Formats: sequence, structure tokens, C-alpha cells
Amino acid sequence: MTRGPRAQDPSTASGATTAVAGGPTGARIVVDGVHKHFFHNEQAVVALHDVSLSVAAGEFVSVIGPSGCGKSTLLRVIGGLVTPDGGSVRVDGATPDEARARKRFGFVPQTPALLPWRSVLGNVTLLRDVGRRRRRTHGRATPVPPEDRARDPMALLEQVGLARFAGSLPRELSGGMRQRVSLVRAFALGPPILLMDEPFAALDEFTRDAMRYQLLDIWSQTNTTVVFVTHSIPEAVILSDRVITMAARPGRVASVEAITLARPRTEDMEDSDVFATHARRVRAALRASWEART
Amino acid sequence: MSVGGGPPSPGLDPDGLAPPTAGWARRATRTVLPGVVAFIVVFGGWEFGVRFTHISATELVAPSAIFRELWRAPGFFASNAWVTIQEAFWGFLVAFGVALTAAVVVVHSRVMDRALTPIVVMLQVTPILALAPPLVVWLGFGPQPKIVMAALITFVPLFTNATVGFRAVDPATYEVMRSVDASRSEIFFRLRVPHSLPYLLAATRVCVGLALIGAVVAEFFDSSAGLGYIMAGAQANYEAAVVWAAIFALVFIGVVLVGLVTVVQHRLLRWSGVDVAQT
Repeated sequence: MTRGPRAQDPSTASGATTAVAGGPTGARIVVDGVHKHFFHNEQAVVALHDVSLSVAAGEFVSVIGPSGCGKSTLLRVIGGLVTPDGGSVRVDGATPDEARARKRFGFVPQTPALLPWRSVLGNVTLLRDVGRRRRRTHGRATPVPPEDRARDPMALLEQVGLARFAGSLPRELSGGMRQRVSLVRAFALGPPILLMDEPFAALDEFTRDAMRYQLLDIWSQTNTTVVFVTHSIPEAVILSDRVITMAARPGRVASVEAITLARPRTEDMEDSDVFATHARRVRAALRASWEART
Repeated sequence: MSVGGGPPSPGLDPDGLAPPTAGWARRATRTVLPGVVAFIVVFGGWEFGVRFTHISATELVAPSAIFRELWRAPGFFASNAWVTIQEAFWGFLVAFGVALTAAVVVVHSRVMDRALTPIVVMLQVTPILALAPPLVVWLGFGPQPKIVMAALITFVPLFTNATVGFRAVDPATYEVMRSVDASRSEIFFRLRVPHSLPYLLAATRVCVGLALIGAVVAEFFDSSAGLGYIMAGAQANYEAAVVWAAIFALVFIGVVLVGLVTVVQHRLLRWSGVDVAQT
């Protein structure tokens, strides 16, 4: 782990309230002026309006905002699952579709999304086995074959305490265990970028708490860049290097809070003044974005 | 890091999910007994009703007479049943192939979906059994009209369940697959096909009976073999016991085939955790 401790005083954090999320040079993800609208009952709904942000390599960025602010859409635009109507997205200089083809994303949805007929280990290795044949036939240049990046699935299962369930079927596991399998599936690919869409939202509070630190634990051993969509302010603050608050209708970036808590993060930090200050600021930003809506 | 799959994991049985060996007899009794009792009540009541009331043998035949008929010429019923089974089987197979192909097309193309759906609805509301006479006229007296009947009558349930099954893919799982650029065919074979299995097997259960009905009804109209042929001939000669014997043979075949499908369901759908016997 190469992240050094950061300044402890949040008031010195730069860019804490800037509207545009400017990242450092060498950004891994660059979103520039992205627009996206959907049609709902024949009416155009603007999901994303002129959204720009950049995420540095190895950075952990959370996106928080009220329902309908387009945070999930933003995540899907970055991952190439949704095509924007305007603006551009670059992932290490490539388009999201190219990045997708090179398996540069680990996607963790809100539900575990496991294949019920595959064992835990079968689910974890699934994504590695998919998409290979096409890559060969198209003769695409693949700078880093996924095989070289991929991590040992059994070691990852061991790390989250599920090694002895490797042969079990998903229905034999609890909700929290299934979500851990989903997490391991994404990490097993060894992707440079992890896109997480409220991955802990469906879990009970106790399991959520444990999962946060488990996630940070695995993340700290990899050099993964994380974009993490969440509803929870404490979750965003304790996990992230930066918390991006979005506002709804139209979906846009409202403010950015740089979190100055040191790494590695511990549970004690959730009781610290620094944590409380950050949480208060994010809450204020959320409230402002909520009031601006009406 | 090294890849190549971790070591194959040992099977896991943390809570001792293996069935207990003791008490199996009691469990078997509990599962089989209600059915046996119901069987005795129904057929006993039937026998009793025919024997001790004034219903004549031409109106209703006693079960004992029916079983006697089957016992008298088992080879006759078996060879004709075999003809019907083959017709129903080939009809089902043709319908299965066409329905699956059509479902694949419809699931992947909105235009084809809109083009084919009205035809399927038309087929669905058509009284297929009424098509038997013209089918015999068109296709002759061989097995062809029977196979086509069995295929027509099983097509709609198979097609409907195949499309529903292919579409019953969890959106989140679909997105995960797309996030690594899985191709359409990979998504089809790794997601859609397994997801459709419960639907296809449930449809197959229903279609076993339907295919037999289709074949038998086509046999009513001019044929030289099959359980429908026996029924039509016996009907003409007022041999009610023979008609009933053919019906019993048909029921027996249906029960055995549904049982086979159930075994396959249990084998293939263990992952779903759903008790398939309840479907």
C-alpha cells in the first residue's frame, strides 16, 4: 500500500466545495461535459447535465445524491453500459467500450447478481472465462491480458472468509455472503477500475459495517481505482478520498468534498471530529442540492 | 497472480444436509400413502357405483371390466400404445425445435417479435383439435397428420415458456456480463439458456399430455394403428370396455412420462431450490 497519511484538518482540504471535480494529472477516468436523457412516459428526463469529473489512478471516489440524480447513470456511462448523448468519457485514454473489451472494469451491482446454478467458485471465475473467444477472432490489441492481472480466486475467497463455501450454491449463502462473492468476482478479474452501484444498500447495518472494512482491506492490496455510488453519508466519508455530491433534475455535480482522514481507515475514525466535519459538510451539500431541486 | 483455477473445492455440507438413512420407510409411506388411498377411494367408489346401482354396462363400465380387458390382450394395447407414443414424441420434438428457434429469434429481434406474436396468438386461440379432419385429408393416413397435430397442440406452450424463460434474466447479472464485454451468444448460452430451463421443463410436463391428446385425436380420423384407432373402432362396435381400456392405457403412459420429466426437473433444477413437484 502506497497511500501516505494525509492532512488531518479538513478545513485545509483544497477543492472541498468546487463544483467541478478536477482531478490530478494522470487521471484514470475523465468525464467531460456528459449529457444523457431518457424518455419516461414520452417525456424527456435529463439524467445527466454537463457532468465533468476526473478520477486519479488508485483513487476511491464516492458519488452520493438523492434518488434520480443520475449517479447510477453516471456509473454506467463510465462503464460503457450506457451511451451518453453528449460529452466524452475516457478511461486511460480509451473509450469505455474499449476498456470494457479489455476487461478493465469490475462491476458490482446492488444485488449480488450471481448465477444460481453455478457454485461460488464457478461464479467468481465466470467473468474470466467470458469474452475471450471474441477478442481472439477480432484480433484486438490487448496490452494486458486479463490472465496476468487476474487474482487467485481462492485466495480472495479465503480473505473474505468464504473459502469453505467455494463449492456451495448461491442459495445456500446468506445475503451478506452472496454480496461478498459478488465483490470477490469483481476483484478476481484484477481490474484497474471498480464500479460499484450501492453494493451494500440491501444489507443489514451490521453486515454493511463489516463489508466496508473488508472492501478497504482488499482495495488497499490492489491499485484499484474505485467509483462507488451510495446513499449513505458515513459510508461515503469513511471509504473515500473524495465524495462527489450530485443534485437531481437535471442530474449534475453539486459539490466535491475531499476527505482528509488518514489511510488505512479504521472504525475509530468514525467517532473522530474530522469524520464528523466531513459528514456534516456532505450532509449540507446534499440538503442544498435537495432544496435547489424544488 | 497465477490463474488456472484454484484447486477444486471439496463438496461442502456444513449442516449435514444429507438425507437421514433411518426412517425412509416412514417417509415413503407418507409420500405414497395419500395417493394410494385416493386411488382406492376413486376406483372403489366407481366399481361400487356400477355394481350396486342400476347403471348399465353400456352407460358406464366398471373398472374391473376395464382392467380385465387390458389383461386379456396386453400385447394389442402395448403395440398400439407404442404407435401413439412415437407420434406424440416426434410431434413434441418438432414443436420443441421450432418453438425454441422462434423464441431465440423473437428474443433477439423486436421486429420479428412484432411479426410473430400475432401468429402465435392466432394459433393459441385456434381449436387445434378441430384441425384433425383437414390435416388427415392433406397429409394422408400415415403418421404425418398425427405428428403435425401433436406438434401444433404443443407449440404454443413451448414457445411462450421459451420466450419468457430467455427473457427471465436478472438485469443486474446481464449488466455484469456486459461489463466484461460478453457477446450475445455468451449471454445466450451462459444466462438465457439456464434461466429458461425451469420454464421449458414446466412446459414439457404440460406438453406430455397435450402431445398424446393430439396424436390420439388425429388417430380418430382414419388410421390403422394407435390408441385412437382402438377407441374409434371400439366406439363403432359399442365396446365400451375397450374404449375405456385404451383411455386407461393413455393415462398410464401419461403418468409414466410426467414422472420421467419430474425426475429430469429434479436433476437439472437442484440449484433453483424450488420444489418442482409443486409446479
